[in-house]
Amino acid sequence: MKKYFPITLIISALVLTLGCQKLDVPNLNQPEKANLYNDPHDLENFGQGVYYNYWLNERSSNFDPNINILTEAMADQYTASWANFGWLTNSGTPRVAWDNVNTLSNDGVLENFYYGSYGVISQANTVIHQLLIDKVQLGSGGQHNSRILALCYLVQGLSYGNLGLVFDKNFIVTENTKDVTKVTTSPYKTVRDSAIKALWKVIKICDTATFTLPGSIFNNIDITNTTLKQIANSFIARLEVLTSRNTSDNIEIVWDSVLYHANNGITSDFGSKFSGWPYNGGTWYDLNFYYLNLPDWARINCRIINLMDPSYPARYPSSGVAPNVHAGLLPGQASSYDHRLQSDFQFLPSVNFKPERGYLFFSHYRYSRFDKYYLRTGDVMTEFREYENELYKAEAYANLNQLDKANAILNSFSNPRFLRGLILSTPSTSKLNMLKVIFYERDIELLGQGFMLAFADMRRRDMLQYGTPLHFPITGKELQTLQWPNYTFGGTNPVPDGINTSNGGWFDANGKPVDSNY
Amino acid sequence: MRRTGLLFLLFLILQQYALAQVVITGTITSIDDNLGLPGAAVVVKGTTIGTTADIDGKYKLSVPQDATLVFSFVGMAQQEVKVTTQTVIDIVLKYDVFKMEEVVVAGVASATPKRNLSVSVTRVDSKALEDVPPTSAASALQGKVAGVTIISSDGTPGSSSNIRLRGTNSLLEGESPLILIDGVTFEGELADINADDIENIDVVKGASASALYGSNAGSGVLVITSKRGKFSEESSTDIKFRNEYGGSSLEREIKLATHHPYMLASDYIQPGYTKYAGVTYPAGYAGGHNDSIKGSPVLDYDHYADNPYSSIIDQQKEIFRSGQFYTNYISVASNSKKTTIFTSFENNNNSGIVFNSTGSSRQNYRINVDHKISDKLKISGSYLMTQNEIDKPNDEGSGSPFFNVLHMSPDVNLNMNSPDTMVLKKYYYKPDQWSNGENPKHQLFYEQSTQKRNENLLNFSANWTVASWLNFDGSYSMEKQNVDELLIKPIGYQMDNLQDVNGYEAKSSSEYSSQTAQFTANLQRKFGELVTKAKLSYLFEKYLTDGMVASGNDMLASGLTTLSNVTNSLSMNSAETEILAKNYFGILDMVYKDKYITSLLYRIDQSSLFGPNNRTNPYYRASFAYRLNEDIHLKGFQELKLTAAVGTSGQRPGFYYQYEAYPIVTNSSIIQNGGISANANIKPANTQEMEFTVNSQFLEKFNLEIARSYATTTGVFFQVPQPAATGYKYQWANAATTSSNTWEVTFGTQLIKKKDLDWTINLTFDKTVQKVTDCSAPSLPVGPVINGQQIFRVGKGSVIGQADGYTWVRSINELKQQANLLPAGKTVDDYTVNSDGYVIPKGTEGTYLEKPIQLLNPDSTPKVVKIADFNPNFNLSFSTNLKWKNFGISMLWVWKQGGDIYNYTKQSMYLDLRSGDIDQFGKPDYQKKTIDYYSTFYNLGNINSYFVEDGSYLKLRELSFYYTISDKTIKNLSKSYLKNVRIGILGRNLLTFTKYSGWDPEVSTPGANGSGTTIYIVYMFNYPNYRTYSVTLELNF
Repeated sequence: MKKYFPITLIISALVLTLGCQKLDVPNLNQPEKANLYNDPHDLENFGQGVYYNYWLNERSSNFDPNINILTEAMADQYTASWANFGWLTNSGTPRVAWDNVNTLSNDGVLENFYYGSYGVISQANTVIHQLLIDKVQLGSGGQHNSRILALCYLVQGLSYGNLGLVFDKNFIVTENTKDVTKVTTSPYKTVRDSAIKALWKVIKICDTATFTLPGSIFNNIDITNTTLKQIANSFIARLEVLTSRNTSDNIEIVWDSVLYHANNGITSDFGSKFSGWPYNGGTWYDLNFYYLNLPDWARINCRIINLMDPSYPARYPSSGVAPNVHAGLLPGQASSYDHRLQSDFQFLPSVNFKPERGYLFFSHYRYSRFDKYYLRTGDVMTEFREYENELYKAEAYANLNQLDKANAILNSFSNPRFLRGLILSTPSTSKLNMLKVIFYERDIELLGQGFMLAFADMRRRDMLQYGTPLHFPITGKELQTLQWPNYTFGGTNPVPDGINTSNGGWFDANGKPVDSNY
Repeated sequence: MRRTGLLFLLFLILQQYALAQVVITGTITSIDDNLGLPGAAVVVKGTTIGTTADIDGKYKLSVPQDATLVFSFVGMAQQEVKVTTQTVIDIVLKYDVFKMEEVVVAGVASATPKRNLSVSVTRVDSKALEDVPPTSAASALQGKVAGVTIISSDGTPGSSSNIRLRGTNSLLEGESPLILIDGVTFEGELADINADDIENIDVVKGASASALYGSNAGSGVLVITSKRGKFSEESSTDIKFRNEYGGSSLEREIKLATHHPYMLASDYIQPGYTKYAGVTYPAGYAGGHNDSIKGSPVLDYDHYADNPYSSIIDQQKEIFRSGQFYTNYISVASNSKKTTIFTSFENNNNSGIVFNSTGSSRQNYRINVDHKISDKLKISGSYLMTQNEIDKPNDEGSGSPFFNVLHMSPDVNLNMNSPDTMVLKKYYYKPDQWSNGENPKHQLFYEQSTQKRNENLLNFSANWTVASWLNFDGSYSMEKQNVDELLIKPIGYQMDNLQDVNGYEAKSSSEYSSQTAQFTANLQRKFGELVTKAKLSYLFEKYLTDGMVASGNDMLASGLTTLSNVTNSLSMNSAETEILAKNYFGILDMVYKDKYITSLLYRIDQSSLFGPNNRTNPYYRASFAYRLNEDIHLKGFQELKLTAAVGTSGQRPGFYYQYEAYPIVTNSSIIQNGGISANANIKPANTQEMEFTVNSQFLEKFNLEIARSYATTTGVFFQVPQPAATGYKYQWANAATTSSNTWEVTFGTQLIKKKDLDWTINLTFDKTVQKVTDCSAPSLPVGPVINGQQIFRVGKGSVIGQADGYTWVRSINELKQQANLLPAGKTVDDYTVNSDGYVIPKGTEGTYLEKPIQLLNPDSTPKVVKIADFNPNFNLSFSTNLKWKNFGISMLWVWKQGGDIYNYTKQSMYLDLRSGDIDQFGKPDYQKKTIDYYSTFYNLGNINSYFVEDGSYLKLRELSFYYTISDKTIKNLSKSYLKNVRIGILGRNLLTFTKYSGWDPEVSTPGANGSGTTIYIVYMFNYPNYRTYSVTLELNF
């Protein structure tokens, strides 16, 4: 036995050594919550990521379906007969109710945006809480606190603003919410007000502190407190205008306030630099540009071509035969005094959509303005165009009956209407015609940009097709989680009320465009 | 007390010697050749007194006068003889056809003959694998063991089968069992393990049997043991050569439409394309996408897909071809008195059946060594190295070549060259003007997608016998697995017309390694007629993963694989994890009077995967078996054993479940908000199983085993949805309880056993019912993502493997339930049931207005109902082996009865009107349906009952013919060392009888986490299974 004693000893030692090994294994791949919050450096980086998360959520992260892509078709700005993103179901005629079950193939269209928004809000709230309640100091002596605080309030505001654009009601959770599970829902106007309240906080911080947010946050240029304040003002203007569900809501808009914020808004385009498509390793991208502009995927609705060429049919002929509009041009080809028809749109003589899905989806035009992004030569993807801000000013002036000021903006030679469209004069100085020009410009020049612009512009004029949901219900999955009854909007049964479901429309029984309901 | 114990022991010893002794001699021979069986054992029943036969099978043993002698030999049926007046006892041992003497080591305290098992462990030995050698260990168990579900969902060479033992205990589609190879916990691909080296596979099915393996064995255990040299007094060397060469091909094609519904030009037959009315083609046009084409096809008035194309090309033949495969194998087993060595090499090459793919090329090297340092100390080593290089299509599913080939119109020329302006000249990427589909041949020809897998398995063990009743085992095992992947899209490669074309490369490299150390004390002692075996063990486990991936765009030069060749959009990522576990267990197996058998086990597992608040979890087993016929001799029964067992085992949580962490965005300086909340309380899922078994042998010919298993798994992992206001989408939680119950029947018979004729038949049957009995979350989707949705549902009371979706009104009574939702002015009387059994508006049959009515909710949205159950009614396999003189024939049939398949492939084909269902040519007018009718069922890709198909099939899995040239014949022919030669013709997956309309009914789709599955039976454009046929030559020296 003695000769085996050393072996016994070795085995015993090994068992003891291994048996005492601790089982707490760190996660080396992701920063853990506890460490993140305790380390000002990590917390600052966490805070700096909020805008990126907001951007990605709004623009379809990693090829997930996105509500913005669907509403572009529901607003009859784009057209697509494919089932992807809920296009075919939700952008046909007659319109159907939004199917709010979570078995739908495109339920992610709404779900991704919904949960993503709250994820971003949670991130912003966490950082704000750490800074204000737990008094964490970022940078030397807390010198970075103001800029990160302003950034987080900006994203909190933008996220609630977008939720208010999409849903009929939402949960409002802020850095001061003690128990998130006890929060009840608020209607969309309250959600908008909450967004604006957060954006006002941005403005106030920017008024009292001087800072520069590094360019990496927006994947573009450095943003000073002065510029950030302008950005917050412009977004307030946008939210005040676009949250309207119908003409009744639109009448309630306080145009003085819109004008105030637009006047204090941005003076140059605000956006992030494109860094490549996700399948190429890119991290900053806008999948609205991708899916909506591939020629075989989506095309420009005839309604838009008709705006530029009133002789062009606003709806594709039900015969399926391309319209011969102009002598000397090919079937399906349009002509316009607006040069943007040539610069931003590509004519395609053939349509490879499926006839059996309906000729109403057909179109001979696609949007080619963003083709440079396919080739990864695109630069800034604008989140907020200066021109959009100018158009809010113009719309505010028009509604405040300061028509000369509105006219001055619309006829400015520095505007794309002149620079790109080569349109030299406004047709009239009447308020109605001026508003028509404003919406024309929003349809043509801002096409495919921003969030929900086309859909919001149509609904606030009661111009969405009859039966189109004016906003969306809380997602079926969330209702199921909360064990709340399911509900939905849209369709023709029950009869549309103009509050949750459009009872208006942009064309008459013959498919002819009607005058704006504005 | 101590003194009393010693006196009792002394009494027992004296009692042994008080009996008169007698010396028995004799010879133990085999019934097969009447030759002696060297090494055969003879033991006095109920004692450790015994000896082994010498080289001629002779033995000599001094035994008590009234002893009962037990004669045994591996693979032979044990025999008992009562000593009365004999002094010479010659015994002829018969083959143990029913393997009741087979010794099992898995799941028990120590080597135990099957007859003394009290839990379900089934052994598949090398003999069962010899006739049709599996191409790898992945398919070795198919059709051979009741209760084992194996689905080869993917025909890609080098891919593994999905394995499930009894019911699933997981909702996360990874229900595969724990696999141990020569003591090493194996996490690699079974497809990389060659079957020629396998000595046996012990299938430890239920939780009660697998309790020994604790928190890693909730889904059962496969214990694979490789061949080794055998200790013998005489040195010897055995050499085996095996070569197999064969071909492979797709068994059948999917039926596609050869007609369309569009109006034709009068001169529609054109070279390279079909000319449609309303379309103007440029001069010289010969097919393919062309921006100069004007106009669009218009639907013919009748909307029937019965118009001809200008030509019909079988597109499936364009990408599927006959493949070839071969296996070269050599093994050498040699032994000396103290050392044995088994070493082998296998080279396996399988091209698969897809165009321009070289398939899998695999090499295996093995060496197993055993050495006796002394009579008390033995050391062993096992080492296996494998390498597998796989060239395969980059993609499966939508957008893959398998998708595109089924979406191409039959007039499209996939071999057409690209326009001159394009860099890549062959197989124009967009050969069809009217489809978004890409040319599958372009994909297969230009995309380079390879995977290299290297696997190293190492085990050192030592056994130290301290006393006859006590020995120690110590072992150290290591697995190291490296997987390198490369994807190159060359300069000029494009799949849509706006994509940049400067080339793309992605490279990944991952390493998985494990180290385990185990120390065990084995005790065995006999107390009178009570034989006890006990084991106390400590097991330490450490697992590491480390992976990197990098990609980039814009290649500088063609034909390079270095990442320095890409210059843009560079992206990189890496991740590493460490998992630790410590486990302590003890097991006590007892056999009393060779008829009362019991096993008690207790185990404690601690793992870093368990949440910090639940770091320790216990497991147990108690089992009892009673060999009834030892007491009550039922006429005709040679064995009748009743077994009952209860035990627990578990499943470990995933690495990330417990951490509240935030992802870092690749290629940026951003920390994201996490979508998944942490759970510090996460603990292993716990499966408790009760098992009842009846084993019987009767009429000297038949063997019947019936097993019934009831399993309940609590704490099943699930991503529980969180209210959005929390900021999280999910939280990993022990959220559900599942239950399964399984019937297993194994029946075997040796119908004929004569000198030159041997015929055996085996049947296995199983049926499993499994469901979710409790769930803390509402009914939610799980499983694979199909067209953006997960169709499988879990919720309290749901079947595991149930799919929900939309469905159609099938009767007027059903329509009455939603009469208030009919269009204005319509009543139920305005509807009828059409010839397919769907409710449609009256008078619309055969017109474009004929559209089935969807089942609706009261708010007029489509109703979601259970549409499919993917669990089969039963599985049955039938195998037979007939040997006549030197000829042998064997076959294995498998029958899966019931169990649905969701044929998403077909649904997708409805989009482009490519399914053969849509073709109306040749049908009488009154039977014709319009494309509008079929498009309604397509339902925008939403899952609906129309595409649920019966997944039943009967498959001839294996067929072989062998001729063996015996050693006598060979010795007559030559004086060589050649012992025998086997020549065989083999076939695998030769015939399938099914109503399923896809390529092969043996399908499944990986779940959202990428793990293989046996429960999510959805087909969506995977590499199809195929048949193989081959010849083999085996030489034994």
